[in-house]
Amino acid sequence: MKINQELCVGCGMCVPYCPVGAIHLEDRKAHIDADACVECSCCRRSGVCRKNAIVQDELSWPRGVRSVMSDVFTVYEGTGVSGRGTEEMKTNDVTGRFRPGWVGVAVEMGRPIAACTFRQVQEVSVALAASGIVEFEPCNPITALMKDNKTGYFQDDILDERVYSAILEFPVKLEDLPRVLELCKQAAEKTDTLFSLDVCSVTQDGQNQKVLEILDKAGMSARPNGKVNLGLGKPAYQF
Amino acid sequence: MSHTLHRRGSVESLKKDIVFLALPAHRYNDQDIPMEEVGAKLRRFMEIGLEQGCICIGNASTGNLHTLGGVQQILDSTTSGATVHCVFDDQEKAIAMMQALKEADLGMSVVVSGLFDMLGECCQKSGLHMHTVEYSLGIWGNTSGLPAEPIMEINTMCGHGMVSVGRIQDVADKIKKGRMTCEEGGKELAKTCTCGIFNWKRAAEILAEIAS
Repeated sequence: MKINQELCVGCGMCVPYCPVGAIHLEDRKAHIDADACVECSCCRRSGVCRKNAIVQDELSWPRGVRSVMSDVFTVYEGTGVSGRGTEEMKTNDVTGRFRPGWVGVAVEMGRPIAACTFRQVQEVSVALAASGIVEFEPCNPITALMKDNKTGYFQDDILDERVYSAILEFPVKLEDLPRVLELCKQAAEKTDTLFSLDVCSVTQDGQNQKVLEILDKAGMSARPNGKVNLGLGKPAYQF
Repeated sequence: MSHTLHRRGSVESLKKDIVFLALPAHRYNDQDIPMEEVGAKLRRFMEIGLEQGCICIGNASTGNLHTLGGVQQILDSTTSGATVHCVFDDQEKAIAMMQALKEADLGMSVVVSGLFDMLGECCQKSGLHMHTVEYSLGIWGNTSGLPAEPIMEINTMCGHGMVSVGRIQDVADKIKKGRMTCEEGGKELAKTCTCGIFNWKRAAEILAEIAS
């Protein structure tokens, strides 16, 4: 994204709209810091600029990856889902992606507000993959950018690209959840950005209660609010 | 994508924040059912939400009330596979929504975000059950740059983070200066949440706290 300097009147109205604070005023003109911008299109789409000075420049590779991970309306063709993520537990009633005995874990790097580079994502993905119990979800745009989803290393040319968030998503056996939680704690101590963490589980045979017990033992607590799949999707997956 | 999962706030505040979403299962429903039929089912989901008194609807692929221009435009834009949303601010209405969805039997996956205790009660009263749950374990790592909690509560209501901290502060300042009401502020902030999952009513209440 960039500001057409000829059209910009320096009103500053666009400055607060940027989710990552990449827009600033200088010499009575708005400027976008290209390194900080994650190409989310929030500024342009808001319609705040009455002079239409916010313009989308051509996004070639590897910069285009910023838009895939940051712009809500960019659909990643591998998932068919708009936004940066996947269907995860949202369609679990039909896909059976997370079965009894397994849980889904998502480490959403950069969320909220902080954003992240792929180099920062890689620090966490490599540590998780090295455990040998994590294999990243193949139907996820982040995994598709890895050289190998068993090692967690990303393509070299995207490492310094900055995105609003990147979701590392993977299933693990219920018995391996404590180890994964420990790895997440270690990653939190090392990273200079942040991440939101979540775990999903079927409720069959009270498995979600077992997950809560594991979280408790790990010194982690689930927030009182979260998401529930109501099991209304068809055809229903038979576990 | 866990865009309705990590909403922050007190239990009292979150009681007024229940988000329903519906979507087809990629590589399942979109292959078994003609695309226009999927679109019609998703449109019906939002119509049911409106009939049950939701405060806003949205389509993650096409836009919200502001970007598309109105409720009818959102409905008309829903012609194929997408993730669509209805936001409620009342438990009784959420129960009625669940009952109506059960009766409608659209065959699309439906996920509800809210307080687990409350959703459990809603399921019980509507004859549904929790199939799969997702727990938020909060924010980890370097959190030193995060803003004050009330700002976070508003920011996390757009899971894609498109309601910026700067914009929230900007609107709060306008309210403090008497240039905007809290309700206007909540609706103003909702504009950049293109999926339409931002609860502008709850935002108005939080803005009132910030302004006071």
